Amino acid sequence: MLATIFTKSIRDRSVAVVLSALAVALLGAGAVWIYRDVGDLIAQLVAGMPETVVSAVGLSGAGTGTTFVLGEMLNLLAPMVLGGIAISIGTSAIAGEERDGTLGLLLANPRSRTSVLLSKTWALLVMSAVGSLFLWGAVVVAVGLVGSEIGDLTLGAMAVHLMAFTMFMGGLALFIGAWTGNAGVASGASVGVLIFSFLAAGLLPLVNGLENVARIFPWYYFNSSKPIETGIDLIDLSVLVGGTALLIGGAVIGVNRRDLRAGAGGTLAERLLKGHPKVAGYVERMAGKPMVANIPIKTVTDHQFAATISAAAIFYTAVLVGPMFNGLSSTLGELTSAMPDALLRIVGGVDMSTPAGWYHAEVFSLVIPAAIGALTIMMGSRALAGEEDATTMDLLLVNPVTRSKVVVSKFVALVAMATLLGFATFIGTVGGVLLGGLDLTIMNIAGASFQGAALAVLLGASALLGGAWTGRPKTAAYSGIAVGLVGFVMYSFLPVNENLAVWAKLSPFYYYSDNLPLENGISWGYTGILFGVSLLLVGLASLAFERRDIRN
Amino acid sequence: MSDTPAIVTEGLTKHYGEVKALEDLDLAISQGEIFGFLGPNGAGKTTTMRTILDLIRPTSGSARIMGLDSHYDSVEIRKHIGYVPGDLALYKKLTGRELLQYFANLRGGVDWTYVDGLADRLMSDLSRKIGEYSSGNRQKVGLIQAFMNKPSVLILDEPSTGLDPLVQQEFQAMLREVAADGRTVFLSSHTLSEVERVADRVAIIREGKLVVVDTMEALKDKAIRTVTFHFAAPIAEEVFSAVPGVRGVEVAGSAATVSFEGAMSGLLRAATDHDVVNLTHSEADLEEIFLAYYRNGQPAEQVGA
Repeated sequence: MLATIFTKSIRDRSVAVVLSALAVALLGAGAVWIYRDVGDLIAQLVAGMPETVVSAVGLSGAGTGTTFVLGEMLNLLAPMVLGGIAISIGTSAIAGEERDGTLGLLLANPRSRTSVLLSKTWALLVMSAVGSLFLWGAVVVAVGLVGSEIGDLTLGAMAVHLMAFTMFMGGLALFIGAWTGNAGVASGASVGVLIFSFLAAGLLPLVNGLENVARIFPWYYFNSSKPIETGIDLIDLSVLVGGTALLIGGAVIGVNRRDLRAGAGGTLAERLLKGHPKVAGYVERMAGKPMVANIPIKTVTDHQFAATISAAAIFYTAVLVGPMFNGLSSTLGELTSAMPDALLRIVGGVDMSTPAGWYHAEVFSLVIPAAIGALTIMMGSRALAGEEDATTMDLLLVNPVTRSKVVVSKFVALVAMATLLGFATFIGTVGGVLLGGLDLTIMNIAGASFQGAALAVLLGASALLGGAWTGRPKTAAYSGIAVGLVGFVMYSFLPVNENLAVWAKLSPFYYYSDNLPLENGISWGYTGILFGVSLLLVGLASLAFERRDIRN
Repeated sequence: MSDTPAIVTEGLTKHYGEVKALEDLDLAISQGEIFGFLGPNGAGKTTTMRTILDLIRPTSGSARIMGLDSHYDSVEIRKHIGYVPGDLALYKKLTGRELLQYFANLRGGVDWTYVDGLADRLMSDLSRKIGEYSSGNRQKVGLIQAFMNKPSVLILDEPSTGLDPLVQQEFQAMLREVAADGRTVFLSSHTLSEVERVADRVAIIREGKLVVVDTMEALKDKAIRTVTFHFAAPIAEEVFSAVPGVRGVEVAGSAATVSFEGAMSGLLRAATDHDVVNLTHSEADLEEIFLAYYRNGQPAEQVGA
C-alpha cells in the first residue's frame, strides 16, 4: 500500500465524514428529545403491526420511544448520508482523478495502477469504518446529553452493518469508476442504486411473489435483519463484505484493462456502447443534443441525461405504487384509525387507507422531494460555483451580460427543470391511479406535483445562494442538502410536540405538504411562499455574486 | 480612430489579505497598438487583466476601456472586447462550433463566414467535442471565440500556449491585422520572441509593480549589448574601460569583448584608433532585456513613453 496516497485520501475526506456523522447523531438526538413524551406509545403501537405494514410505512418497529425514534433516524439518514460520502470517495478514487486529469501524473510515478487503486480503497474502507464508529459514539453522547437512554438498542451492531453497507456503496462507485473512468456515471449510477435499493427494500416485500427480489438490493442486507434491535446478522454482513470484496477485485481488473482518460479519449465501456448502435442511440437520445441558444436553454440541456434518469425513476415509482394500494387498503385502514397523530406524522401525517394518503406517504412525502430536489440542488450548485470550479465562468462573464442576469438565467433553467420533473410526477401518478382504479382527481395530482416542483426550486435556490456566496460547488450542494434534510426533519418531528409544533412552519416541507394537496388541491398561498422565498434567495444570490471576485 | 486610449489603469491595486498582487499600476494603451505585458509567474499579469475585465474587483484605483469604466460600464465594454484567459477552460460536452454559437448568441453580431475563415487559418476542426481536443486545439477554439466578433480590444493572457509553430505564426499575423485595422491588443506572454515580433510597446511587471514601459526600440537601445573586436595585434583592456557607456571588457589576446549600453560612437572611435580586423555585434533581444530587469539591482525603476 502506498502510505502517501492513503494519507492524502484520508485527509481529503475526514472532515466531511466526521461532520456528517456528527450531524446525523445530533439530528437523532434532537428527534429523541422531541419524541420523549410520546415515543413509548408509538413504539407499542408499531410493535403490534403486521410486518408488511411496518415495512410499507417504513418504520423500524423497535421497543421503546427512544429506540423507536433513533431507529427511524439511523436506518434512513445514516446510510443515505454516509453511503453518499462513501460513493463520493469511491468515485474520486480513479474516475475523479481522471476527470481532474491528475491520474496520469500520479501514475507517472513508479507505482502500479493496482497499488494506487488499493491504497485508495484502503482509505475508503477506513473512512467507512471511522464514519460508522464515530456515528455510534456520537449518538451515545448526544442521546445522553438530551437526557435519554439508549436502552436495549444494539447500536454497535447497527454501526457494523452500516460500515459494511457504506463500504459496499463506496466499492460500487469505485468499481464503476475503474471500468468507465467516468466520474459522472460512477456517482450517478451508485446514488441511483442507493436510492432505488432503499425504495425496493421497503416496497418489494409488499408485493406477492416479489418478496425475495428485495434480496438483490444492498439495502436489504443493511437492515432487513433489524441489526439495531437484534444484533449483527452474520449472513447479511457476509453478503455485504463479500460483495465489497468482489467489487474491489473487479475494480482492480477494470482499471488495469483500459486506456486512461486524460479529459479525452474513450474507455472500454464507451467503446462497447459505440459498438452497439442501438444502445449508443438510446444513450445519446437520453443525453440529448446540447442547445446553446441562451444560458437557460444550455443549462437545461446540460442536465438532460440526469433529468431523463430522474424523470424515469419518478414516473415508474409513481405508476407502480398505484396498483399496490388495493391489496393493502383494508389493513392500512384498520391500523390508521388506531394510530395517534404522532405516529401518523412520521408517515407524512396522512391517513394511508385513502388513495391520497397512500400516495402521499409512499411517493410524495419523501421520494418526490428527494428525486426532484437532488437534481435542482445539483443544478444550483453547478450553476455558478460549478462554472467557477471548471474555470469557464471567466469566459461566460466577458460576454455582455450582467452577473445578475447570469444568476437569474441559471435560476430560470432550474425552475424549468423542476417543472419538467413535476410533470413526470403528474403523469406517473395519473398512470398509477388509472391502473389501480383509485379515486384521486387530476387537479389534485397536478397541484401536488406542482407544489413538489416548487419545493425543489427552493432547495435548488438554496444551493444557488451557497454557490453565489462562496464560489465553491461542495459548499453550494451542502447548502441545498442542509435545507432539505433539516427542513424534512423539522417538519416530520417538531409537530409531534405541541410546544414545538409552531416551529415546523419554518420548514419548506410544511408549505409543500401540510395542506395535503393530493386530498385538498393546491394551496396557492403555500406555493407562493415557496416561490417567494426562492426568489428572495435568488435576489440574495445575485447580490452576493455581484459583489465578489470570481475564483479562478 | 479616436484619441481615447483603449485601456487606461490609474493606481490599480489588488490585495489578497496580506498579499499585494498588484500595486498602484498606471498604464495607458493606445488604440491600434499591440501592447506586450511581461513578467514571471505570479508577477500580477493575470490579476491585472482580470481586474480590467471586472472579474475581480480592485482594492483601489480604477480601469477604463475605450473610455468606459471597467466596473460601472462593464456590460457595454464587453460588447467590444475579446478575451482568452490564461487558464483556458471550455465546455467539454459542446463541439467547437456549438461553443462558438453559444458565445455568439450572447454577444450578437458574429459573421460566420469570418468565423469559418478563422478556423481555416488556425487549422481548427470545429465539429468535434471539446472534451476530445488536445490542449493546442482547445486553445485554437479559445482564440477563435476571442477574435470572432472583431472586438475593438483583445485581451489575451498567454494566448500561444500549446500552439505549434505554424499556428503561432498565423496567430501573429492575425494580431498584426487587428492592429492594422485600428484595433488594440493587450497581450501577456512568456514567449518573448512572439512579443518582440508583434508588440509596439512592452511593459514589464515584477511582484505586482510596474518596472518599465517603453517601445521595443527604446528598450533595445537601453539594453546592454556586446561587441567583439578582433585586432591585428594584442589589445589592452584600458582602451575601452574608460569609454562612456561601457559596462564590461574581456580581453583574450587580440580579441576584446565589450558590453555597453547607449550609443556606439564613442566605442567605435576608441576601437578604430587601433587596427581592427573584424567585429561581431549581437543585437539585444527581448529576453536579455527582460532578464536584465530581473537581475539583482537592475535597473532602477523607470517608466517612460
